[in-house]
Amino acid sequence: MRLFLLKYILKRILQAIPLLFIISIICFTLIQLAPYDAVDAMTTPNMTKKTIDLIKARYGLDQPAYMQYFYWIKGILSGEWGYSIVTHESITNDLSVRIPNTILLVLPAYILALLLSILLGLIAGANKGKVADKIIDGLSSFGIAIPSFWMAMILVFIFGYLLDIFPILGMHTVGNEESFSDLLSHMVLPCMVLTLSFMPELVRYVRSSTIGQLSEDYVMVQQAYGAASSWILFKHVLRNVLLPIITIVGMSLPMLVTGAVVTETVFGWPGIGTYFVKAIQGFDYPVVMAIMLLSSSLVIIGNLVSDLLYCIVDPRIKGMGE
Amino acid sequence: MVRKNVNILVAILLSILLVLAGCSSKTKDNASTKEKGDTTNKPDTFIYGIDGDPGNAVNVISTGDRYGLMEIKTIYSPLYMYNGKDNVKYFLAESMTPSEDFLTYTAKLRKDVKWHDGQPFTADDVVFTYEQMLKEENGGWARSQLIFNNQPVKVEKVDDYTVKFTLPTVSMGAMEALGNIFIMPKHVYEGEANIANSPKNATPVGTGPYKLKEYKAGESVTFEKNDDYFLGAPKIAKVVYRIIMDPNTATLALQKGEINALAIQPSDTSKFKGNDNVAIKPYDEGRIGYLAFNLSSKAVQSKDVRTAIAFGLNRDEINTASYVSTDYSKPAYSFLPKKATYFTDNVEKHKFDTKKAKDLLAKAGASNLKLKLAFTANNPIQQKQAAVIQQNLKAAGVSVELVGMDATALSKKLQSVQTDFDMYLSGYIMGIDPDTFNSLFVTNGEANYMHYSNPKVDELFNQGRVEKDDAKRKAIYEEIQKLIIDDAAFYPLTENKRILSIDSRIKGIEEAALVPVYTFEDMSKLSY
Repeated sequence: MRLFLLKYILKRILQAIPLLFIISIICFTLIQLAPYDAVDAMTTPNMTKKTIDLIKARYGLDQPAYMQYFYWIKGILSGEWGYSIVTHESITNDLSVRIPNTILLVLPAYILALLLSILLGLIAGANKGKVADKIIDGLSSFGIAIPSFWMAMILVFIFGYLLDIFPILGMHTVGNEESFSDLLSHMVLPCMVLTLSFMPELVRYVRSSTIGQLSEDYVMVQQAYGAASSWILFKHVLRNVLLPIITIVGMSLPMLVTGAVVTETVFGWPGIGTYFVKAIQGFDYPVVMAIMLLSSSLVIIGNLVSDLLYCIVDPRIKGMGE
Repeated sequence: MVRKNVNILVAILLSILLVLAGCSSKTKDNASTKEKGDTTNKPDTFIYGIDGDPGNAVNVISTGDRYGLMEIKTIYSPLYMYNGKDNVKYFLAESMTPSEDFLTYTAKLRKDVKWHDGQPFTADDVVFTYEQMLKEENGGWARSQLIFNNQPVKVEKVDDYTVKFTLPTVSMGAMEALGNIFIMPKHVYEGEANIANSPKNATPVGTGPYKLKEYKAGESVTFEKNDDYFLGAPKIAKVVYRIIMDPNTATLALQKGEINALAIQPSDTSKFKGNDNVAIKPYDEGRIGYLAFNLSSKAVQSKDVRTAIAFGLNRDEINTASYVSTDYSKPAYSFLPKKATYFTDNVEKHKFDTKKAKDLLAKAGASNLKLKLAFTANNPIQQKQAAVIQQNLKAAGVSVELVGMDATALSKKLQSVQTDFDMYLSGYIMGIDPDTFNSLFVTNGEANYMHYSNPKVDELFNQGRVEKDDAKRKAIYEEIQKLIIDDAAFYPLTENKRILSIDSRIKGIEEAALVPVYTFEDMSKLSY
């Protein structure tokens, strides 16, 4: 059995490799198809043709596309992601600073959203059609409809400006960079926005899944034995509801990189989001390619991880393979 | 057991909330004690909000964006800043004197200047900087202005504190062209093959009022004062450029006092009305905002049609709609800004006259004219300008289709010959001497996006560059201004200001001087 599991994992990983390869080609091709010339980001109109040619040669832009692709992949495999053509900063450096910042924001918000959603979703599902369900479901619909930048601005205005409880800018107060409590207070508002924007869909998912489980036979059996409904809910239903959540969590992996683009921009949080938006505006194509590749790879890896977790958690899946 | 888990979960959630609430109140205490501190001792930090990231590779050769240049101005010094014919502010140089024949310029350097690492500053650094700027493969931002008639300027060291610049040909704009270039340390960069990507850029060594303390990607750039600054130690100990991409957040942060200065849009000025903590300082950048015709497009190749359109436009209405008040923008009539040498507004002003526009169009046989107007889609100013232009011309019988484009896409289009649109909105900040504007208007000029060509204008620009007699030069450039407006391919709309809103406790803004691009000419003069 264990041998089979290893084989399955190996097989899935091997399957992911060509997918990653194809994604890298797609990223590269899309950028090549964009109606710009990458060299434009580095030149000014008053440069001579010769200067422009020299700059092209320096960045390898005079080579045919497949050679450029080859250099790019070679760099990425060796951990050298190249340089931003706008700021000339090493992309590896930039990403290594910004990714942790984004994760710091997204991870707590996502975990919080997940826990709250499970709780609220179960309550709503178990009380289908009653007041509690209507409130929770109604608020979720409301939450899905609200754009996160708008919610961010409202929270900034109320908590940051009118009440003046929380700071609204960046990660630290200037001159207070070492203070952990300062960092936490900077995190509150953006985390709140992210939690609120992650939650509605998760709540609805858990709710509908709970409703589905409650109509299963095993629930009826438990009820026939006279088990308390809360005991049924948390002892039996919860477990079954949690299974498909694994898939959702796995698929959310790319959010660690691109989950907070809008929120980061509003709060001036120095994460991947602001970096990515700026790169797109300035046509900083090495940066755009790097982030595209990263987030699309995370989709594949996320799927892989959730599949593997699923097969560890749910014994039935293992059986199906044999 | 599961029940217990849920209880634990609830307990965790509650404790998280408590911790958050706890630290929020703590910071509030911090903030209030800080404020209390402010009233007794002076604050020591100046925080300036910017909406771009200068990056960590800022260097005097290849950095050309606004925020990169702001950082350079803070760390490095130029020989001098050219702000006008009679307004040259000297930094590393004590004087810059042209020879009788205007072919050589001699710079005398200050002797008391030290680099941030303690090394003395000498003529070698100056020569090294100009050599690097001239190297084609470095992609220096100022290279083209150091090339005269296809030949580079020659820069030589005379002694440790004297540098001689030899021009291949007379160019009356040379004083300006040779200035505003920031000097970098030879002892640091010597032998560096690729300056743009050099790791040395992360730890810059300059001669300016502040030293770089820390750069945090996407967050802030922090500087601390250079006590040995040759124009006197700065009065504010720490300067921070804080990166805020969202203009709404930035404005709120200024209202709240989380930052001390910010450039704002005209429409945001009303938010600070009656706010005693923030002063609004509009200042001139010499920027001309304009409407221009794409002369590759057949529909607008006739001068009569363009003149008719010019009469159909209500310049004042366009400006009021986009810049709210004349405090922030003045109508422009010439291609030169007011502070440029030889500026004149004694040109055809195309006073708004819908009837005249209609008559002229009928005479030109261009009824039912349909034109496309391109502009930068996410620029709030240009959106409003375009909307008013569309209305104005509709009244004159011209239907205008608005083509909003991405900024990069538009500039790419402008650099090629195409007929995707007939007119476009744009703007420029050039220099002081009118010769710096020639690339916009001479035939096949690098920035001549209109594809405009008038042999008379070409000839006059060439004459103006080498004319040594001031009165004659003046006559030449006044003639050029008239000719360009008469051709009606270029319709100047506005000379707008940049609006700096700044903490009203900050003093010394006059002495620090507000200048184009860099904001402050000498930050060391600011104080609380």
